[in-house]
Order: sequence, then C-alpha cells, then structure tokens
Amino acid sequence: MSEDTLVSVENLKKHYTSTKTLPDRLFRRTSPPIKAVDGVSFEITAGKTLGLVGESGCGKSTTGETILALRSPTGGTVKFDGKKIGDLSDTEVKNFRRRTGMVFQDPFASLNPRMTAGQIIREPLSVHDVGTQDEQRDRSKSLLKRVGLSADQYDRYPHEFSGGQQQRIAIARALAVEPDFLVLDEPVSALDVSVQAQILNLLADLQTDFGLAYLFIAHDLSVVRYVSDRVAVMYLGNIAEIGPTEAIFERPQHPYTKALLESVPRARLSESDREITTLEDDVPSPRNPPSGCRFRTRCPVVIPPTDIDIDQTAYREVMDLRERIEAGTLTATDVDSTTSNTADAGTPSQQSMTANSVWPGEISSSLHGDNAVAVKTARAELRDGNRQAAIETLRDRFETVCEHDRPEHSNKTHHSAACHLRH
Amino acid sequence: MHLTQALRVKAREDFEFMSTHDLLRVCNVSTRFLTETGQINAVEDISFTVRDGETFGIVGESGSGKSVTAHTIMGLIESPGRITSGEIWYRDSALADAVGVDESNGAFVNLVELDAETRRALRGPSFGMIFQDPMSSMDPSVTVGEQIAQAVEAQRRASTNPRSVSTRTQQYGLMRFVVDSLIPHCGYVSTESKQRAIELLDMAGIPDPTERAEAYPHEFSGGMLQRAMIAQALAGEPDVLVADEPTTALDVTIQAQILSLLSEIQAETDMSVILITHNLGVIARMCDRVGVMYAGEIVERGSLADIFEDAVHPYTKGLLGSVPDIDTPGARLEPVAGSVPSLVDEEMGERCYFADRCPKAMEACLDPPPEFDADTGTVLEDDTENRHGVKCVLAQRGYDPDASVSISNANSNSDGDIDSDDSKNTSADNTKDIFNPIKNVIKTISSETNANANADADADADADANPSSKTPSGEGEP
Repeated sequence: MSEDTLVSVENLKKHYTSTKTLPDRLFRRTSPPIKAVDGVSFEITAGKTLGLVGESGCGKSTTGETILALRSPTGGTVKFDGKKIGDLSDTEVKNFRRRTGMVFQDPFASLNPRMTAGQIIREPLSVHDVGTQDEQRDRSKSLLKRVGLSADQYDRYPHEFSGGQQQRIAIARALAVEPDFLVLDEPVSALDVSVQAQILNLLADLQTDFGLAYLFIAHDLSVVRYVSDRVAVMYLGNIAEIGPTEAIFERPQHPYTKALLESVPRARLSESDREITTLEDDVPSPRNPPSGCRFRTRCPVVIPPTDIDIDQTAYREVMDLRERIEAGTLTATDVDSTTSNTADAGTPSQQSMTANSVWPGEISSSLHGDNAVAVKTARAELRDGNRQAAIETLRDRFETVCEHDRPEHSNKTHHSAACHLRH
Repeated sequence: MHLTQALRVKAREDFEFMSTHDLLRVCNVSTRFLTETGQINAVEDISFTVRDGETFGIVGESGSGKSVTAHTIMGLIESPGRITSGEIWYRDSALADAVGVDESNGAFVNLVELDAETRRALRGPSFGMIFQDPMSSMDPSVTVGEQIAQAVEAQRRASTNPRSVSTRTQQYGLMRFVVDSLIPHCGYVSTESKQRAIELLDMAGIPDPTERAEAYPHEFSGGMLQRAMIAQALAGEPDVLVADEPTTALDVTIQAQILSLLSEIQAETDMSVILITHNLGVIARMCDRVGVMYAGEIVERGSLADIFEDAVHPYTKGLLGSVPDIDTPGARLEPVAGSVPSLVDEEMGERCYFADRCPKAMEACLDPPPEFDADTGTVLEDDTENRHGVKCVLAQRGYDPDASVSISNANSNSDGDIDSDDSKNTSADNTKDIFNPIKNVIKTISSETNANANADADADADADANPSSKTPSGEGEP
C-alpha cells in the first residue's frame, strides 16, 4: 500500500441471501445467494478519482455502499486511512462517517421533501455538532453558493428546484462536514446532458479545491473517462480490468472492456460508418454466475482447448450450444424441430436474423473431424433424451480453461486485466 | 454483427440512388396543452420531412417536446392536448383514394383533418411505435407471445377488410368475446397469429422464440423485452416507425444490440424511422437527418453533417459541447448554462426562447427568429428540399459584440414581468443583488404556479442554474 492510499479494498464480497420463510425451513429449501460483489480489490488515492464502471446489476452500487459501511460485507476488508472499517469503535465510526459522504443517483429521492435546502445541508453539521447555530447557517449558505446556487434559495424546498439544482444540494450536503472521500453513485445519469456537464465541472472544481477523493460510479463510459484518474471495469461482481484511465481507454486488454468501449455510440459524424461487433445475449444472473471467468458466456475470444483445432467463430457457437443444453433451454424436441426447420429455412436474411438461436445443424457444417463427431454424438444423445450424456460428451471435447479457472489479476497496482489471455 | 454495417451502407447507397420521395411532411405543427395553470406550448410551429427508408432523428433535452412530437405524429394527443395548427401530410395513395383528396397534392393526405377512427386505422399498418420503458409498455398479466399475437390478429382482421375508414376490430363484437372467453381454444387470437408472433420474436432476435412466447413480461430482461416490443411494432409492417427513446433504459452493450437490430430491420423492410433520443451518439449512429429541439421548437435541422460539423445555432453547439468525448477527452466541458425553460405560454414571451441562456444573444434576439437557410442566410419559406434550416439570427449575420445584450437586463428594464424571472438569475452578480428583493417575490409567485403546472418542465421553470463564477457558464461569455 502506498503512502497516500486513502481507501483500500481487499477481496470484498457481498452476497445477498433471501430470507427463509416457514415453508422453506420445513422443506429445507435453500436458494443460492445473489453474489452481488464477489471478491473485488482496489485502492483509492487521496485526492484522486477511481471510476467504477459496468452494466446494471454488476455490483457497482453495492460496492460503493459496502465501502461506506452502509452494508456489512460478507467477506473481505475495507481499510480507510489504514484502519479496518469493521473494527472501528463507536467514536471512530462517527469520525469515519464525518470523513466520508455519498451522493446518490436520483437527487429528488435523496432529499427530504419536507426540509428546506438549508435544513438539508445543515443536518450533517448538527449531527456532528459542528459550530453554533449561526455558524451552521453561514456555512450552509456559503456551501449553497459554492455549488452554484444562491444563498437566498436557502428556504426553498427540493421540489422547487430542477434536477440539476437538486443534485447540487445533495453535493452541498455531502460536503458540509468537510469529508475526504465521497462515493458518487451515478450522480449525473438522471440529468440532461447540458446540466450533466455543469455538474461534472462542479465536481472537478470541488475536487481541486478540497482535495477530495472520489469513487465515481457510472455506467456512462465517456463520463467516466472525463472524470477519472483510474478506472475499474466491473462485470458480474468481479473487476474485469483496472488501471489508469488512459491505459484502460487506449489499450484495453480484457475482451469485456473492449466490447464495452466499442458499444458506446460516439457523438460525431463518422459514427455511422464505424463498424462494431456487438456482444450477444444478456448478462447472466448473479444468482447463478458462470464458473471460472464470469464473462466466458459472452466472450468473443473464449479460449479453445490447446489440443483441438477449431476456429474462433465455430468455437463460440459450440460454447453457446453447450450453455443452452446445460441450462435446459435446448431440449430433445428442439433438436427435432430445428432439424426440420433447417430443411426449409427460407430466405438467407431470415437465417441471419436467427443466427443467435444456434441450431446444431448449422454448427456441425462449420466443424470437421473429431469436433463434428462430438457435436453429432451429443445431438443424437440429446434427441434420445440423454441430456446428461450430451453435456458430458461436449464437455470432454470442448472444455476450456475459461470455465474451470477463475482468472486472477496479474498485479494489484498498475494496469491489470483478469483474463486468461493475458498469461 | 458486421452484416448490419454492410446492410446499412447498402441501404444508404440505395437511398441516394433511388428516389428521395417524402413520405411524411410535418408543416408548422403546434401542439398545446390547455391546463388549469395555463396553456402549455409543448410543440411550437415545427416542420420537418421524413423520406422513404430514411431515419430522421429528433434530439433534445427532457421537456423540449420530443415525445409530444412523437405523439402528435401518431395521433395520440389526448385532451387537454390539442394540435392547434399546422398540417401533417402523409403519402399513401390507397388512403388518398379512400378519403377522396384531390390529386393536386399527389397522394398526400393531411392526417390532422382525418377523423379519429381513420387515424386509429392507420396505427399498425402505417405507423408503429416503440416506447422508452418496455416494462411499463407491456401488459404484465398477458404472455409476451399473446400480446404480439393480438397485434398481429388486429392487423389480420383489418386486412381482410382493406384499409377502411372503420375501426379495426369492428367485426369482433361482444357476443364473440363472450363465446371466446367461455369456450377454451377459441380465444381472440388464432393459431396463425400465434405462429406469426413467434416468427416476429425470432426476427427480433429472441432466442428460443417458441418458449419465450409463453413467458410473461417480468420473465424477460430489459433488452429482450425491448426486442419483443419491436416485434410488436413490426406486426403491422408499418411504413413509419416512431421510436421514442428506444434504448434509454438499456445498458450500453444491449443498446448496441438493439440499434443493430433496428438497422437490420430497416434495411430489410425499407421503412422510415423517426428516432427520438437525447443521446447524440445514438443520433450519429443511426440517423440520416436530424432535428434539434429546444423549448418545443426545432431550432436546427439538417443532415447529420450539417448538425455535427456545421452547426449554426448556439444551442446545438452547446449540446455538442456538453458530451464528453470517449476517444479524445478535452480539458473541460463547455455546456450551456441554465436549463430547459418552462413551456407555459404566458411565461415564454415573444423572443428567441434560447436567448436567456445564449452566449451570443443580441438585440435582434428579442424578436422571435424565423427559420433561416443556414447556407444562404435567407428566410426559409416552404422547405421542400430539406435544406439546413436554423431558427437563429446568426444564420443571417455574424455575431456582433457591440449589439450584444444580456436579455435579463432588457427584461428587467421592462419592469420585470414574470417571464424575466429565469433570465434575471443568470445575470451578472451586481445586477442580481439590486434585483434580489423583486426577484424573490417573483420567484415565489412563479414557483407556486409552477408547482401545479402539469408539464414535463414544471420544475425547470425556475431552473436558474445561477452560475457562480466557478461554474462553466461564465466561460461561454465572449
């Protein structure tokens, strides 16, 4: 840990288990926990911004809330200024709360509608007993001005402000007790672009003036690039890649980071001619995440076993087929019906439309040798109702390193991607 | 999906090669909402054309009237809203024959004049719509397949009775409904319609469509449900697809999937798409031509190149300056100060609506600007050639710092009527102090009226970003 590290997160885990009802107890039913955050590690330097980016449901917000001890972690440690959060005494907890703050996504929902802007900003001051009544009032007024509102808006209620102004109030509240570290959970995603830019500029100014460290959680990659010094890309509770902003955006190493960057539509003229490869499918459920590398079910460059000769597209198709059989969405009846469908498949364009509903007939055409034999055998087994055997056959032939080994980050300080391709 | 790109390029070549027929001409349309708090000018005198097979984008911030424009085109404006003026011309020879318009207009029919039943008959085979939030746009108690089959069925029943001036589900009476409900396997939708629904789901890229058709909307992810909604909109094989923020609720990788899907379907069916979004990246990716909306007006319109490379209106420039570039991040964003104004009629005033936020406001901006041709600087009268139009005096003359005015001052001299409230707050600090007492009174009044205003932009009425010297707005000043 370097000297100016303010927050250090080590193998943080947060799992949600559903509460058991009486019938659950009686029948001893257990449901697997939702692994919202499953072993993330990173450090935040004082006065710097770490951008945490990922799609919805990847555990960004849970990470932010767990760091601030708003949720108790299932495993792992969070250290703030060298002290472990879980071990703090009551006074230390209060001190920790004074030195940290949070700004939420929806500004209106995070401001009490029955309090005026002034009261909202003063509340943390009175909780922490900072100054006299008059000093508190003066301080909240100067904070209002600092975030770009005017002091005479002190007595107005949240609904009288626009979204951008409400977010300014939320920022003023977070700044009231002079924290060192703020978790900004999607602070601009509910705002219009022009207002969003105003808030981003404000946050940048505040950081320089007060030496704040930010954990900036967002799904918008261009915003993250604009505000962050370092970026962590999350996928299904894991950090796929972490490193300096420049490196992540210019030299992404993880296939997920690459795909994510490619998916962002650029606001410029050449955009319409830019070729992109879209990721197929949705993010899998965190209740039952894929084994090994979390991204392997969507990864365009999933690694084939070294001892077989297969091209990447065909391998991806085989892997999709395996997933569908293992998930039980491809059944014996499908094999029959898809076979008959292939016979009168209609126009070529229709076929391309259905390219992601892979059928065994098409795959075997792009395979040869033992690979084709394995797929054919599996298909026959599936048709005979022997799903387990089909799964085994395919696994024996096509099992990849991505599915049994979880990729580790190569080093903890610099640019690092959790992908087997790196080793 | 490299295929998408190839298809798009091909579609564009075809498009340039082929005719450039207008399919839809929106001429000076205004839509107003007459609410208790006053008249809200949600859409103000907008004009644009949509050609065969092209994608026309409408971009703007929330409360700028984008969605109301979509509803206006679809004929979905309901009381207290009303299309108060203007015409929407739609080219359809069968319809033109049916309603008996004269031939001088070609095969164009003015949709505004049609009766509600006919408008309703057009939804489906002529106009389809995709909404922003797929979850709240689907019926949660009916399976996805069934919902799409219902749309198919409605079209099927109607097409046996060629596009007529009658309700689509006319033949489906109460008696039939009772019988269908009581006797199983005799529901509203037929087996063929269900089969077609599965085909549509498959076309929209949903894996295992047969099984997924049996699932309820809550069992779908957001992206899959948006695909299902696209499938539903395609049931009638519409000529114009209105997509209102189709990807706003989705993650970026899913957004890329949906946009590819839309391009593929468009290339295949050659329909026209009106794409409404606040995301300039989506516009750049999808559209052939663009209209930029602000305060209910289309302030600038033109080809993609006109808007992105050659913008004239300060608002368009401000909007482009507000988006951080992912490839080459600049030092600092240069957004427009303030936020979208109220659309309540009496607060809007007779001037350029953007003037109070505009870094280049001049004396000439105190009059509402006509639409200029951005290339020649002349007033654009009847735009049939799809020129680069802009509602800003800068199209006609350069910026003259000597003639610059702070609209706020001009307004406060005219003894501060309510509509000056916005602008006064953006004025320089010294004037602000002088007017503070008055302003507070005015603010209270206007915020009270606004609290009740039933418009999107209600809270924005007093949305004075009131920039401190640190906020970026100061930098925009010359």
